[in-house]
Amino acid sequence: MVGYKAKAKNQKEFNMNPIKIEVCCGTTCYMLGGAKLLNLEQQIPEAWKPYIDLCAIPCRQYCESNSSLGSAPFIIIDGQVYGNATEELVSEIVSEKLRQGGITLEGGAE
Amino acid sequence: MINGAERMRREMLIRVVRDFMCEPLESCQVQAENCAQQEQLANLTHSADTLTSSSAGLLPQTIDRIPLDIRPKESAPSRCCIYHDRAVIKYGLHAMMGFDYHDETDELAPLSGYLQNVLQSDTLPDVPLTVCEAGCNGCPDSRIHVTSNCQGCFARPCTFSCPKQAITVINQRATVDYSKCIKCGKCIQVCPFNAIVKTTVPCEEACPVGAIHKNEKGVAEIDFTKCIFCGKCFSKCPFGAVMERSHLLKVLSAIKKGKNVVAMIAPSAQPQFPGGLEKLFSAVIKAGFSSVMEVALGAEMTTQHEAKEFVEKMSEGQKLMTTSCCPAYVQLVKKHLPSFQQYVSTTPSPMKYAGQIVKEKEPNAVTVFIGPCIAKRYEAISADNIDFVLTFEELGAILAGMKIDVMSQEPAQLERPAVATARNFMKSCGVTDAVLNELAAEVKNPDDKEGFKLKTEFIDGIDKKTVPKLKMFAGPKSNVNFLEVMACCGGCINGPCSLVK
Repeated sequence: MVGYKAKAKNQKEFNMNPIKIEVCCGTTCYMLGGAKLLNLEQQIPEAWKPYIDLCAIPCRQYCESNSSLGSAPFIIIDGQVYGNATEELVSEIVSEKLRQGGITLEGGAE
Repeated sequence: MINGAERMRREMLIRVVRDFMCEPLESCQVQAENCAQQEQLANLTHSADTLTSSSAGLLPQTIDRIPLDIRPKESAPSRCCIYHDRAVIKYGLHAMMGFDYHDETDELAPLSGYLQNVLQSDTLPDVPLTVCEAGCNGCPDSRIHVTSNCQGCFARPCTFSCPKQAITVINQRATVDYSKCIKCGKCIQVCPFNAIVKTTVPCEEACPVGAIHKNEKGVAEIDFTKCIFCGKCFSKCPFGAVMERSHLLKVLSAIKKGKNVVAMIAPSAQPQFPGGLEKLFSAVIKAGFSSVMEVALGAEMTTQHEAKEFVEKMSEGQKLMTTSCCPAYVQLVKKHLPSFQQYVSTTPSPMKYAGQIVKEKEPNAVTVFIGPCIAKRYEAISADNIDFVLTFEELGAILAGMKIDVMSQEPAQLERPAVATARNFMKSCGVTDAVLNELAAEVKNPDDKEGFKLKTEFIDGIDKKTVPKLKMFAGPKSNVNFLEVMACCGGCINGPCSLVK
């Protein structure tokens, strides 16, 4: 994820709500690979930070429901739950959302 | 990031704990979503042997289903097919119950039968590792291999760099004469096309003492007369074929019976769980342990005794003393360099002191050491004050399986927090620092420590070169007199069974 350069075409045009990223820090998520996601703050590029609202949430039992959500670790981005979350997945979703919001990325991210 | 083998193992452990600890009737109310399935199982429980079901929760009914649950019919297999995956998970459960791969005599015997045996017996596994033959890939022998990237160049640095003249160029392609090749890898470094590779057997490559080898059937086998239980094969095998023979069920069973189970948590726990030690301690109490203690308190005693022993030994004229808290290193000296034994400190490890503190206070306590280490399991067999050993992975599984969120716990009040130097035993150099600190406090003038000049050194991670290195430290040219040895690179925090590396 390092090496991205996000740049708003025109800062005034940007009027989307910040992207809300919630990282589950329940023990199951933590054990099955979520430990690294908790450090997401240090890993997202500086330029993204104004557009991102990152927080850790306690277990919401996604890991226990046998639904199609996938398996731990879970991450919730703008209310949408993603299973088998990785840093790459977060990076992909966020850059897509930023693009839709009119923010172009430079530096070979896409 | 965790890898697939770790993930499968952890998923298995979480399921085991969840089913073991749940009460058949309560579980229906708690898990509304899974109600239909749970009810079915609860009915089964009542019709089945009620004695086992009450002491082992739903596990006797579900254990044979775990491989199927982890690899259901339509899922993508990791190996050739889901059936192979399931077989490996089955033997993983075997090892989790404490069995050796070769303990299985009848392949049709269900896991629930083994579960019953293990709950009724009092014996613990004699060695902490086993190799699952069904899981072992029988990786191709380690050798130097010239790939099709070879361009048959004019310079041919490979032929010139080879110390044994094992490479010749035939038909525009470098060819290795395996009767001469010593696998030194010099050709790999010089090839301008990166055309030469070395295939390796990961477990053999990782083992610092040559204790794991492929047998005549082509599957890996551990020679326990050589093994030092460092766990490097366990973490390096990409097929997850090296398995731990665990004490998990014994501990869970003791908790369920309401015994006075005391968790003794190694200093390296601190970076392993979110929220810090105090929250972790609350979570451990919630999981049913009657009390928690920091092994760092034992480390304080180790520091004091080791500093004292060091001063004594130096004044007796001994040239070198090494630490003794890493059990894999202790085994290394015992099995591979007995002449070095005289230099190893005789001070007991922090775990042993911690066990002693607990048992002195509460003689009936069941002491459980929880750490990142496989060799500790072996050390505990000969330690009187340690009943069981769990790993951080298993502790994580206990918390996850019992749905205990570490982050949302109230921080526990510690009776007396251990000093920082003792907590630092988890890192390489931590022991040295603690002992030096102690020495500085004891001896007023640091330049005159009863006639000897302090020179410290440390070995960070045991590898194939460690034994010759140790010999060098014992030799006449070395002026080092305090040596710290840690089997894992970086210290215990990078132990084979740690959650976060």
